Amino acid sequence: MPKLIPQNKLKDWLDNLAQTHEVWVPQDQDGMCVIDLYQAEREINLESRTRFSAKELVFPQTERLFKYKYEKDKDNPEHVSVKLQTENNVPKRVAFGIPPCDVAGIEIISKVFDDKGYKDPYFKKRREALSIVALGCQHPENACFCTTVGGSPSKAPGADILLTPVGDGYAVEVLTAKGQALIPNDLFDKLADVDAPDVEKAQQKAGKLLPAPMVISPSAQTAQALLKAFASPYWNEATAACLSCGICTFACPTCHCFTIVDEKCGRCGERMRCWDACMFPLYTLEASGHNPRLAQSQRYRNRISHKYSYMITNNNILGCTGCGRCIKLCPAGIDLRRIVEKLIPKSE
Amino acid sequence: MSKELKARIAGILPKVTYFIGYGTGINTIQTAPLFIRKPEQVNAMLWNRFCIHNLAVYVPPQKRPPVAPDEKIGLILKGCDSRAVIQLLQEGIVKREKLYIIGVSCPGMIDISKLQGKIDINRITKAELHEQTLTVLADKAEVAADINDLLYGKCLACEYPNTLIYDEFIGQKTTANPRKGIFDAVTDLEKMSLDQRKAFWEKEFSRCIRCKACRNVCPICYCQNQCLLDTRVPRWTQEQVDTKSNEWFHLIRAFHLAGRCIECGECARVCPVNIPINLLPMKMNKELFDIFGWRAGTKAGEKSPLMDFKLEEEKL
Amino acid sequence: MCDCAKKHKYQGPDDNPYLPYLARVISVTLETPNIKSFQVVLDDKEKMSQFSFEPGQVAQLSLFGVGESTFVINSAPHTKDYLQFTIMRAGEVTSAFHDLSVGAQIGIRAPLGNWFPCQEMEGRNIVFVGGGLGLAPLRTLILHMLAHREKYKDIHIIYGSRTPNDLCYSKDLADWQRRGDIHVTLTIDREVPGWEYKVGFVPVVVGEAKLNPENAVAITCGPPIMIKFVLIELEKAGFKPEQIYTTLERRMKCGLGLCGRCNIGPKYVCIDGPVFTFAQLKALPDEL
Repeated sequence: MPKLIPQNKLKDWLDNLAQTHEVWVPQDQDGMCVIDLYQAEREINLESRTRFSAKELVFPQTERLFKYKYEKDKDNPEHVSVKLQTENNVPKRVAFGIPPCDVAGIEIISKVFDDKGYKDPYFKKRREALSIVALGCQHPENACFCTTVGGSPSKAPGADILLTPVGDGYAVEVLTAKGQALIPNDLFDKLADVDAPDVEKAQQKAGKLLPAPMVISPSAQTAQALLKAFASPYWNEATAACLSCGICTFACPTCHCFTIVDEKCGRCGERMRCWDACMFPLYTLEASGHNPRLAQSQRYRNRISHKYSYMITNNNILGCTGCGRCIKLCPAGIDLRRIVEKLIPKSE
Repeated sequence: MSKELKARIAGILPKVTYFIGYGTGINTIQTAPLFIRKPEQVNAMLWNRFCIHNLAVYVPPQKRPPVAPDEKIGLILKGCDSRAVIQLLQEGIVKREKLYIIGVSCPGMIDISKLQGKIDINRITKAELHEQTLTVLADKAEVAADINDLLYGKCLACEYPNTLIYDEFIGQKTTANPRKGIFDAVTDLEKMSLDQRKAFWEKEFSRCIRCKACRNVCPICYCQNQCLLDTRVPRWTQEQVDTKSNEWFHLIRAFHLAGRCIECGECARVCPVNIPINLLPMKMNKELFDIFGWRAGTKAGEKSPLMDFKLEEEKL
Repeated sequence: MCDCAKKHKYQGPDDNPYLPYLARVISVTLETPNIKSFQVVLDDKEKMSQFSFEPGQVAQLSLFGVGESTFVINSAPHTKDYLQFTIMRAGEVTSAFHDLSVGAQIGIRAPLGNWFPCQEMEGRNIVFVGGGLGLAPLRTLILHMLAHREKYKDIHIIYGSRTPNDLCYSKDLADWQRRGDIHVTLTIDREVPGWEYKVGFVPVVVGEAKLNPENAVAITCGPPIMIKFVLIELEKAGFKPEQIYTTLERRMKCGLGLCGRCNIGPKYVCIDGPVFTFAQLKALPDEL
């Protein structure tokens, strides 16, 4: 039976976790809610949506792939060799209080980076070192549409523990062995149990706050719908205002495109991978000057098609969690929901 | 939006490939740029107290859907936004005859983020503007506020409420009534010690994610692929995102905007991490104003002092 | 995935496919004024002797501090003592490669991508159509087929460039012309004194060649505009889209199907390509 942890005991739990893990938790900073390292003296904020998703915990914006160093042979200075060095240690982390849509984002990136085909060792290491304590969402925002893409505000597959707000506390459901390891017995033994039906009821309440959705499934028909719309003039109309900035991709919990660059400093340096954005014209610009996605409408089309078609074909999933960040933060007010609704026929 | 305005826009639609105005945003009190090609779309247009986007960002041809060489575009511009057109004309980026501009007088735009703290502005269920009072219901909490307390900072310091360059002006012109100086925020920053200022900017730059929205939303930034912040050879900025390279990025950009920034504040508005990034070009503007009396985009036909020279400069 | 595919998939040191193996340049050949060929050996002798790949597969070559770029391996698969790459000076990485001399240390991630299905081509007539540097991916396949000449029927190589100075692999071309068992047609765009072969654009020469599509496979690579018109000529001659192969180039970073940029619709050029038939390309969104 799940335990009920009252609001005022959360800190005890967090302090306990912080002894063995880097604990990342939503908190207010510079006028926004961000996910940042837990510090006992700072307030946490489990009410607001974080400005960006939690993907950074498994896929940081800038990550070193390896260091290199050119070394001259002492006896034959013309003979120069390179040494490469990788790091193996990643911190053990807990993402605490992240919403189901952010958990879904991490699951979706896992499907790309750590399923079939090439596996990304950097992502894999970080994902394995990350435990997730998800928090069922009670307050959908104007831009939210998780249920449209098959998500749920109150269930978080992929999480290790699920918290559901019940009364003045949170029902704690342990979902995995990794989650069990995050439960300090001396704290939890003293907590009261909460009835499963009560948790169920609280979870259903959240779903009702979202508009009754048209559900988009990761089906071949959905994938086909966007391929069919590839040459549609609607793309020009829908994306006319797009300014080709990177906000939607950087804020997106599933966008995972990156670039690889070398940074050098004398004879040493490092190879970094950094988030890139398919909205930037330079993303596909070739050395010859040719750019297969020169127009901003082509780039936007690729972004939506990638999530709602290509990822279905390649990974069997929809590449969107419905978190709404791209809608909320778009400087040109472009609403992905309108585009998707227009191009994908409704399924029952 | 008034019937008169809609009728006038419907009237000019045959003359332009498309008309850029404002349409519905993600909730009832946000708008978004709207590109109109057909008369039946005119009805979707809005002109209200939430039309903050500077539509002049779509004036440089490289930043908007293409039109045929003999075609023109139409757009509605607020006074502050219209300064961009004057500046772009002076820089030779667009020809005047390629634009059909609707001029209006702007009473100041409402910044709903000023309600944050009182209500959650991302969970608005209902909003009503009645005379000077904005009532917003969000997440079961209701708040009523005087719109004068909700105006954007730039609107409080507005010196140009009427469109400065236009083909048609609709409605009555108003007179400016600034309640703040346009450079007040810069002056506050100047009062800090060097160390304080350094700490201030380091903290701000530490958050930058280099989404380049500040650059792309700027009507005066039109270099696109040739922007030196994007070129790899020579490499002016690092791809990796950290405080130092962010600082470099923004400082280069501020210098390139010297004498050109038209103070629309869009860069700061769109910043997803709340950096008041407009303060950097504003500082350059203040210097140019103090030395040369120059305000970019306020006088058609005049050249920026940084693109011109006099044998005898009075203050140099 | 069959074992054969596994064999030709880059694992990387410590199972890290982002990590290159270290290698050295052992020879540099000037092919044309702006194209050089580099012969490269892996530092690890054992790895080098075991290195295997199929014609058409590519490599990510690294110059540490400058970056990585994608190049097709154009030495023969049976050549075990070096790998060859041909590089045109164009961007940051390629220019840096042109400045390298023998002995320089580089990094290499290979083999990556798919390959020409040479087994399916056995027993058939083969037509190669190349333009400029487009001969590079064809060279590996040609060398492979010549080494197993008995397995293939007629082989016809049509290769052209703007001027005689822009023809790559002049030594190979001379060797191939000397052989009596294949047909080689060379062409340049405009008449030049002393040129004793054909004059005219490659597609025109393809049209004039009166190719027989029966039991044939055509493999073409070159500038996009050349490919476009070669395709028209091949279809005129009766070649079906399934009979025509090409290799595509796209801006790539990871080469692993992860970084996103090289897709054409749902296909990634880096892992699903670079080799495609025209039938496959026709089924993809028009995004070349």
